[in-house]
Amino acid sequence: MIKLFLSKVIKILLPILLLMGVLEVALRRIPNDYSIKYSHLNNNAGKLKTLVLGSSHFYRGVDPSKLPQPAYNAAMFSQSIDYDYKVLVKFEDELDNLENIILPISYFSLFTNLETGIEFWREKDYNIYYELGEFHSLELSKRNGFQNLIRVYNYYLKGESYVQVNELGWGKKSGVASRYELIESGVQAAERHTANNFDLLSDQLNYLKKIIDMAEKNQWKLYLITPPGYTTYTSRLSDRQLNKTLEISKKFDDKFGFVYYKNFLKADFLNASDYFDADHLNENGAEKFSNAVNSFLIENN
Amino acid sequence: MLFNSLDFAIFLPILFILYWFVFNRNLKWQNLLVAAASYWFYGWWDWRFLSLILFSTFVDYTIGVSLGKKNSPSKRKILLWISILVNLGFLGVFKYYNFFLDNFKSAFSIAGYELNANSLDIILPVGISFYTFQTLSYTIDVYKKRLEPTKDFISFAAFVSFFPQLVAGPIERATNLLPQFYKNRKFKYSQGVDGLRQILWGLFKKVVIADNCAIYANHIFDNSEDLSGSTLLLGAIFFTFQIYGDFSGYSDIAIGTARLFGFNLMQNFAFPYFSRDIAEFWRRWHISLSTWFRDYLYIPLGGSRGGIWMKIRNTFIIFIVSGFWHGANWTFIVWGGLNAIYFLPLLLTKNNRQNMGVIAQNSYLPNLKELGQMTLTFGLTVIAWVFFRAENISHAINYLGRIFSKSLFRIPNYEGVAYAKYLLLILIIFLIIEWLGRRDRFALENNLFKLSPTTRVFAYYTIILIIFLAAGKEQQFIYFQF
Repeated sequence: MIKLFLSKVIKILLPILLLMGVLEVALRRIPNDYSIKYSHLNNNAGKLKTLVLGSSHFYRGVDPSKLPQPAYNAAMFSQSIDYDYKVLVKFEDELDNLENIILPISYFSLFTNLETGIEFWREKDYNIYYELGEFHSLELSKRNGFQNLIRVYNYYLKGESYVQVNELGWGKKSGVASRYELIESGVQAAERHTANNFDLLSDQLNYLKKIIDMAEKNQWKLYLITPPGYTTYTSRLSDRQLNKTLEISKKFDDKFGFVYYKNFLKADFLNASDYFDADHLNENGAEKFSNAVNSFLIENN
Repeated sequence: MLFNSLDFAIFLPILFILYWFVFNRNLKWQNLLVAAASYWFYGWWDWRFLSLILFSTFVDYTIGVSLGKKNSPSKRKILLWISILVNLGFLGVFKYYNFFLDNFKSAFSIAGYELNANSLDIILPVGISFYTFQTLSYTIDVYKKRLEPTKDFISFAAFVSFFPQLVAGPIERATNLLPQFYKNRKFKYSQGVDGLRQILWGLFKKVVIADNCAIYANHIFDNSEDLSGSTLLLGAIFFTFQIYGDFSGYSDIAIGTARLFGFNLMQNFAFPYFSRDIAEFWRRWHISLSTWFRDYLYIPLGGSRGGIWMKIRNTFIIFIVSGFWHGANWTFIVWGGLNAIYFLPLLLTKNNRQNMGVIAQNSYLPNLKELGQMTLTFGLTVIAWVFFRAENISHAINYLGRIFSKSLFRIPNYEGVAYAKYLLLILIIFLIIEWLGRRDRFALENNLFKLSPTTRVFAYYTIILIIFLAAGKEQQFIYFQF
């Protein structure tokens, strides 16, 4: 009886599993920011002099062409410090010529992580494309089946690309936020980035210390930078969380000769036209900010 | 581990093979496998809380054995109270401590005193309200001598932690589930097919109905200040289907999964939105909890016997406690109280048992009276769900206030409204399928048998295809938080 049951179930499920397998392979073969960045790091890690890590603040905000060359932007949306560390561990042995690591210490960096945030589903991208963590992550489970089919159709039949970054890993974005968008996005981002508690602080701090240890071991300079935000965002941040961020960052700057910290949160060389929302720079803003970061690197060289 | 996750899709077939092909010759080993797999299933979420289940299992097992040996009523009563205090103590600490503390603080501050006590920074263990009630029912039944205490610890551990229903029910009675662990189980083809079919329908309810309704319900409830009454009404209806799809979907998957392993769990939902009055609704909604409260709280309090005031008191107690069981928030208490208010007129006029059978038992469609009753009951339920879903009481009152305003007659308009039309269409199809299966334990139980084998396979594929197209990121089940 049970064998008959199993054979019937397998007969019904097999075509579905096969189709799902084909779709999974098709989805994975569509180039995306993760696969592109992993591939670049895999092929060029040995040549890099400057590596940018972090979340969307640097993904959008740092143009590697303005930094000491060769440079690459390996930041991704919601990439938290624990994932910055994991990416570094993955490529540590290959980063033979690396001199500078640029790591954002955003307002939320020390208090949140990818796993517990609203973009937790991006963990799968690291599992699939960076080969970090769980082996059984599926592209299929990231979005609904209808969206997956559209993605396959758009790429294979219409030739659309899903890569948003340029050859240096920079995800530049043009456009200027309206006054209303700056206010609305500022309110939302400040609320989203303010932690309910500091439960994750010790974990994230631990990862930051591991990055510092790695930098010391490999004689890399580590630049910790608090990225800029528009006043509709910065004015709504919790003093307690912000002060803790600044205090910790300064402490590392004071303690280690190879760690440098700079706070650009209220950078006065940027104005409303440099943002596409209250905490992300547009293309123009990113160029200005990247130049400022480069100056900071030169100052400390 | 979520039922709608890849982890579970890997876990289930492996366990099935081990259960029927490797451990099938020895009942003890088979039960041990069920217990171990259940602990694995639960530990996948957070292994630290396994100690709570283990402790609760150990306490109730030991108390059960002691109750079997003791004849002194006072000693038996003490043992019963130890079990009640341990189980409700867990619930009190993990679920209600902060709620009571905050309310005491507020009460004292109104009286001019500042209470210096810190809230506990703890997370609520998944399923704690379900398994504590399950173990409590065992001890109470042994105390009342309705059940012989078990001396088989493995069976008892498997009964408490049985993975299909561990985290969100049905809350099984020891009298039904525990004896099933004592008997050799044989695989029955029809039971296996039935189980898979119920799992399929449960997944459909969760992934297609609940998760899609959730998108609109969440958006509308989160932005209720800016939306018209008609849109808010639509949001409340979406939530009404979300919670039904979510919870009854979970129960279907749980019952179906248990059937694959040769177990029969109690029915937890019986098409509640086709009820003709609130009393019938509560006989059809979350049956395992309603009957638990009926048997272990309402009847011991005197039930519907006694005078009018006793009836009113008991009705309010059972509904408010039931509301509070769902969560430490005043919204749940008001939701329970509101249902008590709905229910009382039926009880006091002795009309609470007038609709015991299935609606339109011998016809395809309901008559006009039944349709009216069904619509009214559904409407009352939708209003009550607003309290269940709202962030707090004032949010619920404002939400309802905006529904009953002139803007109720405007065309609903909000972000994503165009797609909501398709969802409404899916809901109508869903209701038709549920209506056709209303005489059975779940909608697909017999509906598909009427089809030819080829059409039946085509129907399976259609449902799977719809689930696949609608399925996306794994979504939690609402009742996990209870």
